[in-house]
Amino acid sequence: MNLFSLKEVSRDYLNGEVVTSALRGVSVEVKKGEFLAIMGPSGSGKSTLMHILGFLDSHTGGTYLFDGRDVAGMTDDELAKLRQDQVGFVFQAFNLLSKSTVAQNVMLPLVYGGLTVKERHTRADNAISAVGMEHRRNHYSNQLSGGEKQRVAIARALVNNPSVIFADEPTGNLDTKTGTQILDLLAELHDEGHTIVMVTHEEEAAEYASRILKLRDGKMESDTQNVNRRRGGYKK
Amino acid sequence: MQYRDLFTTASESLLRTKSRSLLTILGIVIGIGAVILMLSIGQGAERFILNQVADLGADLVFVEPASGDPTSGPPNPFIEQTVTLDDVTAMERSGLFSTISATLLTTLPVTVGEINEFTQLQGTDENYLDLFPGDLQYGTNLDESDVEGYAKVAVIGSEISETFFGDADPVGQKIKIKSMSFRVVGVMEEQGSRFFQNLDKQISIPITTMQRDVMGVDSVAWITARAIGDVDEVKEEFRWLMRDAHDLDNPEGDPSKDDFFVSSQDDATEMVGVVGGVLTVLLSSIAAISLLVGGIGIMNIMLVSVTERTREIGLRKAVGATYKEIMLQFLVESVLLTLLGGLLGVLGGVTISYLVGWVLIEYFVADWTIVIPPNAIALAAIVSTIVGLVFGIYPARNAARLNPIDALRYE
Repeated sequence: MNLFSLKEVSRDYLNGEVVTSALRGVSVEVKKGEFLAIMGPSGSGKSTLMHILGFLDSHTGGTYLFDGRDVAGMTDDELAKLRQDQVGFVFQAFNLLSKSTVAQNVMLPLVYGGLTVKERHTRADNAISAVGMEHRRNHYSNQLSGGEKQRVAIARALVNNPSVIFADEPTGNLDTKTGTQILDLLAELHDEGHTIVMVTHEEEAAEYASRILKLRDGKMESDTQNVNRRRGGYKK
Repeated sequence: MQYRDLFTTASESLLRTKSRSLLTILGIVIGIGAVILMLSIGQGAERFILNQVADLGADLVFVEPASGDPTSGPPNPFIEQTVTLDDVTAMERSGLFSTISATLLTTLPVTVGEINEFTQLQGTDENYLDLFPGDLQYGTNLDESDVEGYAKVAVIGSEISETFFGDADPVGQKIKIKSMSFRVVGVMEEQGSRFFQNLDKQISIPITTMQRDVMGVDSVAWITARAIGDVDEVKEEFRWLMRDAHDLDNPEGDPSKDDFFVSSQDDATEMVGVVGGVLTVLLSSIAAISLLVGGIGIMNIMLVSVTERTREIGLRKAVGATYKEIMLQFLVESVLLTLLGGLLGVLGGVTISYLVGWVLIEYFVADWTIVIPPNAIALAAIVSTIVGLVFGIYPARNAARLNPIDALRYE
């Protein structure tokens, strides 16, 4: 069963009288357990594609089936429910609440899930351990380094046990060494069975993925399996 | 999202900007506090006056002079001179009243030895203490022969007695009014104040002496009497008697054309009710204005807060918050703010009410009662919640309607 199934998906924006097309008919099938890198220059539509896949944006043409369900025509609340249960996001700018602790940040998605407080703590602790941030659990996020922040963000994306983790330029704000560590962490999560979709414009980052999509001008340019997946060597 | 989560999320957000939150609610605090304080004083005054009215009995009737000119405004018993002791005689003959007493007031310097004191002087008669109960500490009250004989005798209040004579026995001592010598025949017990006048600083002399020797007038300031039977009927019947006695041309019986004014304790009670009503309307308007201003302040700050937290809102939406959950979160924040404001306002208002009451009791009116209106407190809670909802809904909608992608990218 495909996790994502896109047929001729397009996204048009209407600015007054002018129609801009961010995506012009993208078709792709993604299975569970893949580590997908979406590449392309700015304006290629890679972020738009990721937002559509992650239910943050809706397509204007074609069909998008998530886990066999047609996303078009879902209500806002149904989409919110999908974001809550099925996906986790990692952003370039981390987007942590700076005056909250690591644990509070990681627990944020669970607030909307209806779990008991005890269960939230257990889940958050597991996610924090998975990214190796136990020693910072009660630190405020503005006391952390960039790499640590991104780890916390990954923990937050993991905490609701999603079907897929979206990473939007996760190394964009990090130096090479920390960036490598974050990519290794994502690769590790992939090895554990998580599905990962990463948007990047760096070749080195894309080499960590198992499959690389290249977009140009809103269209698919190439779709290749990456057999020689790269590992930075940290922790291994 | 559970209710408890809404509450904790909202209070965490507010605590992150403590001083701003406090400043924001100041308008609500002052509005609610001022209303509680004014209601407390208003109801205290009302109860105080009604208590005094009740003490004296509802069948008391007052006759005061009036101008007889409907266009001249309310009667002034200290200017008009149309009511005299002849009217007292008329009242006695009418059989409508059981006890009658005339009063004339002025303030003059009174001298005892070296001590010179401006004192309220009351011309009155032997019946006064039957209508306005008071006990003598020493000596006797004025009697009928004092009034008939223009006697130069005085009954003095407890405080003035202490000023003039200290611990010495004042009965039989002399006091000087307008270089006339009066003999003290009695001293009143401590009485406190009535209708905001300190009775303990008053000196009473026969009304006849007061008219002829002190003030040089024939009139009286007012006559007090106890009605026999239905008060309203007595008043009306007596008005016609007075019109006859004063040769008034007033066939339609319009009280504003009379040169006298008859009222009773009932009227006073009614008046207190009217004043109370006006006061309530006034307070409600002030409260409405201050809560409006406070509410706009809340709305303003919530809008700023929504803008500042655009990325947070985007993030919350990205991790699964629904429109309703974001909306509720911001609504709960504004309601928490206004409720806290209301609570602090109630606390402040009650505290200051007690302080003011204490000062009044200690220095001005000993038999004042401190009233804390319980329904005003309930009202404060309801009103501040409503203010939070009304002024929070627009910012909360703005927050809930944010597009998550734009919100996440917001710098």
